[in-house]
Amino acid sequence: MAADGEGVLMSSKKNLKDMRDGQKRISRLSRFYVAAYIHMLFNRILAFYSIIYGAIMLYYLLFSSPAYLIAKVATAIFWVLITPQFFETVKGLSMSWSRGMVFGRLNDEYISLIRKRYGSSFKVSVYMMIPYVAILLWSMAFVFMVVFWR
Amino acid sequence: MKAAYIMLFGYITMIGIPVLLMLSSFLSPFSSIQILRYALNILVGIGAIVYGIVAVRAIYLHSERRKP
Repeated sequence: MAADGEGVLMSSKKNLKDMRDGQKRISRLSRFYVAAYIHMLFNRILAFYSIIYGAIMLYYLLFSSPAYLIAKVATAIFWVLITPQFFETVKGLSMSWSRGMVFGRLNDEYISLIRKRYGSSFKVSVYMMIPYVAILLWSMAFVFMVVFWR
Repeated sequence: MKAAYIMLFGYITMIGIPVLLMLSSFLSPFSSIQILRYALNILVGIGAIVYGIVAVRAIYLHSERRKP
């Protein structure tokens, strides 16, 4: 053991407790981050439903074209379930394209410096709008699907 | 297979499926290019199965935190 007590410090074992626990417990998100909670909840249902939907879709396309109504309803359910996932993905892409200027949680000084270096207010507002434009197109496509799919 | 490659499939499908679905929907009024829609829908079907498998793996099988 070293005379300066380093050995004592290094060898002492703390009882570490990770309060975050597994990702299975998503309900606590609802207390401080409702959007993330909705995203997680929908994604947990989507994970199973996606496999079923893929099977229905391939069956409809390859074997039985009269089953189009089932495929249409299945597509509508899938559409609703994947909406938060799509929105958050586009939001994440917008965040990475803008180097964290929008939708990020970086500190204010860094944000102001990085805006000075890379972004104008026009660019920032374009990056801010990307997810909302995407979700608008997404809703229009849903209407097209409901009306014209046959 | 490395986990990074599996996640790559997840990322491709989570942006790819909505884009293909949107394209397929916007093409649906035009009856002359139904074969293109058919191909897009087959890709959507395959993508949905891939996304489902990756998501089930990520959410339900590998969601526990590693013990320090």
